[in-house]
Amino acid sequence: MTDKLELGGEKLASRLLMGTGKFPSKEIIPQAIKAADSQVVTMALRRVDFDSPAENVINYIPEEVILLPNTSGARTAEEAVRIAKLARAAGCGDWVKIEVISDHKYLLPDNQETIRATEILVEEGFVVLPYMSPDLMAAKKMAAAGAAAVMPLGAPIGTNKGLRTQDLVEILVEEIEVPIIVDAGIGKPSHAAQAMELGVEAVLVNTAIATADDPVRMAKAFAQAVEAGREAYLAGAGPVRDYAEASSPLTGFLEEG
Amino acid sequence: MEITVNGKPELLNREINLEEFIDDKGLSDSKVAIEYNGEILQPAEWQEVVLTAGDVLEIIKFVGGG
Repeated sequence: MTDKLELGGEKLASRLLMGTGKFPSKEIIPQAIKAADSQVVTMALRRVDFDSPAENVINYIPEEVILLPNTSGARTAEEAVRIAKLARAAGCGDWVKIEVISDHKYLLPDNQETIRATEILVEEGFVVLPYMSPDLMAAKKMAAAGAAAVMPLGAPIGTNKGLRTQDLVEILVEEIEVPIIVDAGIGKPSHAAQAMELGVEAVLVNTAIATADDPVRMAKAFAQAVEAGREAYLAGAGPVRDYAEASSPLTGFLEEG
Repeated sequence: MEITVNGKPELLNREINLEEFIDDKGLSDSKVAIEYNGEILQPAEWQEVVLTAGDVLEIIKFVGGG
């Protein structure tokens, strides 16, 4: 297999990025990462709570995996930059998923602040993956600022609604030079396959795996769907027609002649 | 002397540096980040910072997230 995802200077065999939130127990996280075969894994940063100490999630992420801390909790570019720098100071590398949100009902990202944060963090030497609303001009600005990928949402975070933004994501696939990674809203492996068939370079899944009855099994199902979708994209789907076109020859029928 | 740690007051009964403070909290084996009076410090700098009254610390760790 020579088909690799080129991202942030790395060549990755896996096109399924995984989040670590909402799992029923931390012990399941490494099993799910293994089943998903993910090479890039997200997590968040929060204050240490000295009154109820909980173990650091990083202890459950295999060492060979690229850590992709997110800036969740940030409402402005400046807050995102602060969180990204804290993550780097904690020793988890240079990669960061920018998430700037001030809408609490739909958790839709603030593209304008995200563009600003992308500009600042690229300048600071980060590998920047911005989570965004699928808007062509915003994506162009993020790519121009040096984003390693652009990550449009399929549907609001945690909704499992699937690729509701398909038409807009297709425009990004066509027009944007850097990889497009669908992040958020992917609820089932079929949604992931659908996104991959369109030519997006990868998908990021968290809720759909973490809240499944059997997260490890679901992680594997997603890995298979992502691979199938990618293969289908590379194979090139046949044309869609309005009327039937027989698959069997239309000559030589038994009752002929 | 009193300092503020993650928004809460904390009493220190001896002069210690940041590295010792993290050790006392049982966090030395964990990946954490420290913001000291608004400035993000690298772990190599923790030893050089001796805590004084009024200092404000933010101590951050990783949690599950998407």
